[in-house]
Amino acid sequence: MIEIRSVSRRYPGAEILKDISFKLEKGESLSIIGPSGCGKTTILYMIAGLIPASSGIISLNGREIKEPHSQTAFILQDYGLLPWKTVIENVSLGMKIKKYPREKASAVSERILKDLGIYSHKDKYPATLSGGEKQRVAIARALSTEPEILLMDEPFSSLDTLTREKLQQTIYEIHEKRSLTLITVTHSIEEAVFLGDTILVMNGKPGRVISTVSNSSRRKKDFRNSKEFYSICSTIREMIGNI
Amino acid sequence: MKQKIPFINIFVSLSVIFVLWKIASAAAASAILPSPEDVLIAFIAEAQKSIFWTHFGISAWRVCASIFLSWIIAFPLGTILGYSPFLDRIFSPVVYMAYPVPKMVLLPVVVLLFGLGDLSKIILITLILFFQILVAVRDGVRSVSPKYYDSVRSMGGSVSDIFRHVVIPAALPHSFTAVRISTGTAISVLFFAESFATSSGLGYLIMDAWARADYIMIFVGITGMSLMGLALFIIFSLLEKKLCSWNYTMENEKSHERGLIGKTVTYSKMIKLSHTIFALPFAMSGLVLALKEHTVTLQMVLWIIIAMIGARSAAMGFNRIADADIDAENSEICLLLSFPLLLFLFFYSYTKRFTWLAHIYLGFAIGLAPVAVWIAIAGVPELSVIILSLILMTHIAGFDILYSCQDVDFDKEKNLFSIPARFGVKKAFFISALLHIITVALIIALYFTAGFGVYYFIFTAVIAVLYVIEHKIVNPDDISNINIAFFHINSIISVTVFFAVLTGYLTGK
Repeated sequence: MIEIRSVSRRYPGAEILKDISFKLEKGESLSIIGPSGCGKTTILYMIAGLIPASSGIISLNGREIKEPHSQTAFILQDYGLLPWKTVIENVSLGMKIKKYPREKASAVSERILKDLGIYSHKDKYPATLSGGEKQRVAIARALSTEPEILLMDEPFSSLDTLTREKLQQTIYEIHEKRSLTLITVTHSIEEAVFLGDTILVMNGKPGRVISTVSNSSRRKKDFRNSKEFYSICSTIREMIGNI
Repeated sequence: MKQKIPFINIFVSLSVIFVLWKIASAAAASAILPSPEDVLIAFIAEAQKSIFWTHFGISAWRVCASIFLSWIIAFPLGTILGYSPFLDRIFSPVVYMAYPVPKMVLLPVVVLLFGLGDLSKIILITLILFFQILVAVRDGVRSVSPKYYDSVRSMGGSVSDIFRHVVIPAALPHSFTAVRISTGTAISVLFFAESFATSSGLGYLIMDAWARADYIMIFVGITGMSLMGLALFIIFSLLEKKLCSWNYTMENEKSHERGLIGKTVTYSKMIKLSHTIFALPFAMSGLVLALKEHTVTLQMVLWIIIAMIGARSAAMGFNRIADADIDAENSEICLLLSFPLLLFLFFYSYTKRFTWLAHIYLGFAIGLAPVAVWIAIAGVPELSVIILSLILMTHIAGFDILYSCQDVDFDKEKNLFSIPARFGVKKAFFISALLHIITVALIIALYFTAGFGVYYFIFTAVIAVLYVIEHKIVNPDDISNINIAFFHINSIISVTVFFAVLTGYLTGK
């Protein structure tokens, strides 16, 4: 579904990414992990169609991505919620831009807010919410237009452990239920392993993929407490430690 | 509850103004400064006549039309310049060239081009407000975090979506702030425009009353203009709260602590500049001294106030010189008065780098104000006015030493010179007290050189007591009391000196 073929990204005087390639089928989940500055976020921006690749091809269903695509939703780092819009206005924004009828937009927003347990905050401004609540709003906004692909940039990095695991579980369930194609950029090893069918380990400046770890036992029951979970985590920890 | 606080504040401020005005008019005992109740009665009487409201309405129309016109042009332009670095690069130089030009001097040209009617006044005010709003909006949009753009673009948003959902809401509060701040400017310019070749508006009302020596009517007009300014200010504040409500949701939860921190930071930054405010009553005292042998017109009084305020704003402008924030609306006399003062003030920040006498220097720089006033009006300074300057100098140097006790660690670390850093906090307190004893001695000396009436000593005694209180509330072991209360005592002393001189003059020979 998504194919990245020998993609590089350069700015004048700096090379961010070099020769990145991977493929992702519909309904699959990919985690990208690596140290800060290795270009993980840049990959997401390119898939979202916000910035072009300097060379190589990024394609979706065989067509090159040149601009933001209506099937893609992107949750930016620090959520990207507009401070001057209330929770429900933020959630309906994507639908408003895509010209959904007003009644449909408000019905969808209310349903999603209820699903995510933040309906009671619908008329508040983001500044008054906690980190976890903001992240739920961002997820609600991303899902409102029923995308096929969800991109998340360090979605839970500023949350406390309890909230983070709860939201990881929420995303896990949403991914299963809607058969989304999911790409998560993170620097938490546990998060990468919990959410990714495949885990790309990146490093370097310019950034390169140093290893692709397959995580086939991920969808087993109670994976987070299983032996496999810990063994994959320590494999990846070792890889990153050796960098 | 929260809603009511501003009104209580307004009420308190009004009462303070009323009381001070009453004291001043009682002390002056002259028709030029009528008592506030006379003005209030006259105002209420006028307010029942349609002619007053005609003038009021015409002035209000001119100001509101100008504000609306400048906003409707500057806001879209500012958002575009803020959003597009390309266009900004093209137009910025034009804005930077035009912004500091004193637009007020264009009055004759504007009148020639657009006639004597409303249009020329509206255009003049618009010219001035336009740039303030433009720059505020552009800078506001520039500071928008790119993540909001990315966020809207990733949803498939076009440029018009970005403007609608990001740029315009982000720019709105900035434009409101600019409009609110420029209300005062707008009304000042309006007065200026209405004082010239016109027969309507509150400005005309004031100038006409002046020509007829109807002092009460002058103050009725001033009251009318002030009320208009206040009303506009409140309207814009309410509009901002309504249209930019997201900026106020945090208020209940977090503004309390944030407000406190913010206050202390700006407070300590502004303090040196705040010293200049103490010079105004002294400049006025210099004026009173000059009364004895020279004629002083109301115009001179006005210009001196403008000069002092101009010097202050310009000094603050120096701080933000990169922003080119000096709107030079000052006339020539203003510049003549304030410019040398400014040079001295400007030099102050450097003196701290090489001598602990910096406090004395600061006192000297600000202390020049009365002598400057004298020179502007009467020429060669007399002994009395020199003594007055020395009073101001020792007054300021004395408390500047106390203030710098707070910065003693910083100064030591940065190798800056100050009396506390050089001699220690205890000795600094002693030196400060000594300086203020000299201040009081000089105030007593002024009695003899100026030939004041004996009532002068009532105020002298008050000043002496205030100094004692000031030095009692701070002590070398705990300098945390050098706070706003302390600041207030200093301003009360300055004002008391003015009343002392005024009383001394009025009751003297």
